[in-house]
Amino acid sequence: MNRAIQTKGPAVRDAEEADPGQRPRRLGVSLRMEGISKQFGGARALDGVSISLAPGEILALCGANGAGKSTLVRILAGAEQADSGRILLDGGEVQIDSPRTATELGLSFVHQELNLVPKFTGLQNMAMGLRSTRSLGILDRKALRARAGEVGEMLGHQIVLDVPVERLPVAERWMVSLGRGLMRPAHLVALDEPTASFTDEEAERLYRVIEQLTASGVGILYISHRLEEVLRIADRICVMRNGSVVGSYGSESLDVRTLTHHIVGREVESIERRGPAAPSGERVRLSVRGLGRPPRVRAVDFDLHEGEILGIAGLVGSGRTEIARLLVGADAATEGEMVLDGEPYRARTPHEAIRRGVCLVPEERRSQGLVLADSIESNLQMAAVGATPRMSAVHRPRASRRIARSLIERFAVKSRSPKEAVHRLSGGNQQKVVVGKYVRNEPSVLILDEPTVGVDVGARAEIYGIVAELAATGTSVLMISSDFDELAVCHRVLVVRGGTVVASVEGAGATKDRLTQLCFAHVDDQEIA
Amino acid sequence: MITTLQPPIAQPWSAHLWQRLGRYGALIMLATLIVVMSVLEPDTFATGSNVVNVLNQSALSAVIAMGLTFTLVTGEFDLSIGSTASLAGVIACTLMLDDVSIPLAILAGVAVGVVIGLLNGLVVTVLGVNALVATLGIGTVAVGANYAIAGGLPVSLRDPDAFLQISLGRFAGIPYPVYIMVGLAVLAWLLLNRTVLGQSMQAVGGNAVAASLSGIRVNRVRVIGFVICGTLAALTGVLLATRTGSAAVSAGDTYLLAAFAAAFFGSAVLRDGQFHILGTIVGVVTVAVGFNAIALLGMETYWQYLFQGVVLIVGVGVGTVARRRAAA
Ligand SMILES: Nc1ncnc2c1ncn2[C@@H]1O[C@H](COP(=O)(O)OP(=O)(O)OP(=O)(O)O)[C@@H](O)[C@H]1O
Ligand SMILES: [Mg+2]
Repeated sequence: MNRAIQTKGPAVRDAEEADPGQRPRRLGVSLRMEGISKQFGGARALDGVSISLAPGEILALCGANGAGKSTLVRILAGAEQADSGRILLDGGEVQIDSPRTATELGLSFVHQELNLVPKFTGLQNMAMGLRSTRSLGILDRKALRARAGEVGEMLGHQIVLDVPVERLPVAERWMVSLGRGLMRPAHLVALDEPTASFTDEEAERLYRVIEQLTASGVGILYISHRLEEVLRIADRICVMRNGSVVGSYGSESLDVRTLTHHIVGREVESIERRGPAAPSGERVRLSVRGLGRPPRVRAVDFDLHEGEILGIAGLVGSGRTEIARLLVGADAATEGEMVLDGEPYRARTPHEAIRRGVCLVPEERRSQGLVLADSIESNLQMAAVGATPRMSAVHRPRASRRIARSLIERFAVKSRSPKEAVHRLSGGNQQKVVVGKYVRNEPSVLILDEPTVGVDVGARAEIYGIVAELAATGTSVLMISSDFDELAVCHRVLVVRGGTVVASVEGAGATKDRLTQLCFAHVDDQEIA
Repeated sequence: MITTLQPPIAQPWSAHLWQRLGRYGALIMLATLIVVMSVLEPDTFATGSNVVNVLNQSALSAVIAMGLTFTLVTGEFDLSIGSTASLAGVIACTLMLDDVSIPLAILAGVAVGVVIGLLNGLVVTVLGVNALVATLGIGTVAVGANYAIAGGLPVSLRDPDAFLQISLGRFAGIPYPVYIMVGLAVLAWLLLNRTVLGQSMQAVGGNAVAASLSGIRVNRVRVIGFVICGTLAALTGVLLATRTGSAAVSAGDTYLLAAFAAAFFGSAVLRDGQFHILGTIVGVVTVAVGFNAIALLGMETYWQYLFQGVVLIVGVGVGTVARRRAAA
């Protein structure tokens, strides 16, 4: 085993006391994956895929949902075994039979899905499997903490280290997961959609970390559906479709339009900016006054009109998700009044909310949206089951299946049958199932918390299409997004900072720059403990 | 819009085979047992009366195991079912000794189960105590109540004939307990698969957070699961007393592990590790057929324990291994 690998990586180069090991002589390896194939049951996920990555290079993998990107990364991580093909590091073939082997070879991963131990604190999670910080089998807590703090600093975000991650908001969990991938010494870091729920500013800091890594020779394998970012940071882009690489391009030779075309194989119209034009009805559907649950949310005021698409922009930790949770009773509001369709609306539980037609598509699909072991069909019926007041009501499996089929078609979920277990779907397709299960309820207020996380460009356009269609028929939509570009589909955007609404911007004015500016203004004096 | 239901792709035959084995392995075990026994003991095993006998012996275990299945489906479990059964029997018999009518006494016994189930459910949901601790605690309290009432001695009826008829009586040659088992199985199946409550239970067991955000009243569903479980456990205890006309303090104890074994064995039947009614019944019947075979072959009683343990491990183990192979 290469000694150098077990010492610290570039992300922590300056923390001499953080790691008592040797300084690596050289960082970075060249990676080749040759002819990798993988079959799941009857489905071919990868079909003879070859990629290569030089030290210090950034290779992006792009492709529609289910193209096989994550599977390729999981094979490299030893989490999945290829049926055939070879992996070479610096020209020598290696057998990566377990995640542990991958770590020992100096490969580090931030997977697409959160893989944290819920009961462990942020620090414990970040330390898991880190061998270099152990001397004589004892964890050097102080060094670990210093190192974790430093990674947090580079990401410009104070990672919460001492709370069990199950008690953290989802966005904070992502920070832990990202910090964990970046803090270990590595020759190669693979990041599977790391920025999916980041705003540009947050992503920007990650890019800087990546830059530092590559400067010291570390190779980066980068997966993202955000094409602008891919074009900006990647040196080369591999486009995958149905388990094969269909093209490899230098990133300077592409623009978003052509890249989109390569990925989807057809044209996708870009988001059309909605004017401030009044939504179909002027009637107020939901009026919120003084809503709060201190300390994270307080004094939230806004009106949501019939047929309106109202965006919510905010940074990680701004309280955007917490507000959504209060609206549906996932957390109970301790202050404020709400009026829905002219009647007092007090959501104490999601059940009450759903019965009044208020649905929340939660931000984290695996832990909050899906029963992973269950079929697509039974996941799609869950919100309908929850909305039924009488529990003795009859359940009709056949009708349920019919509806499932039509939703699968409407959302273009890539699957073999409605009975397929959702854990077998790719991340983006799982997301479509979560959106679909709430749309099925025909809600009068649909709240979407990061609805396009991990969704490919084509499907994203389809989701916007569905949102627009719902709004056109009178549904009021509240859409939270970190991707300020996508808030262009909104009639109006609320800016949330420090747990309250600080600004409301009409559609035309809701440009990325303006929203970013508003999100950051007076951060210091507004910050909530 | 693109149609995305892809045409079925030919699976490699090995994956197919493993999948089949995972689903049907447990049933194949039961079938093999039946065939082998029918060949070995055609005169005693493969007879109509022996089939009725085996079903009759399955009845009580089936009732209590079906109840347990409900809590398992909601992602909880109940360790108090044995004590609940014992207490229900003792209370029913004690009341009858005090000249309470049979139907009323039975009703009171079953009501004990409702109360215990409710307590279990409330302690787990409202207090947030882990099901292991909660049901162990409540179960122990039930044992205490039992001793307080019966003083640790069996409660025997003075004139048990009418009461015994519930177990001994037959309709069309088949004992009443078999009808009770079949009737409850049908009801339980309908409840789990054809009502909103059943769907809610499965969702809660699958992912409670997702279920809650889907509007499902998670706590209420959990409590109902515990109540059904307690009720069926108590019913089992009362039916057990109808066999002998007396109720012993620890009569229900053996049913606890038997019910868990049957439900877990059943989770490997036709499904990929999910608890379900039909599976639980198959689990109970498999064990009953085994016991019956052991008795007919004149083997010693300890074989029963060996058999029950091995059946559980093999049934669940084969299913698990096969699923892993099928997925690989
Ligand atoms: N464990 C599994 N069992 C069965 N099929 C699987 C499994 N994991 C992945 N697949 C299938 O393999 C294909 C590729 O999935 P993968 O997760 O690699 O896609 P992806 O390119 O990462 O997509 P996304 O952008 O949505 O994350 C999909 O069709 C998926 O359904
Ligand atoms: Mg993926």
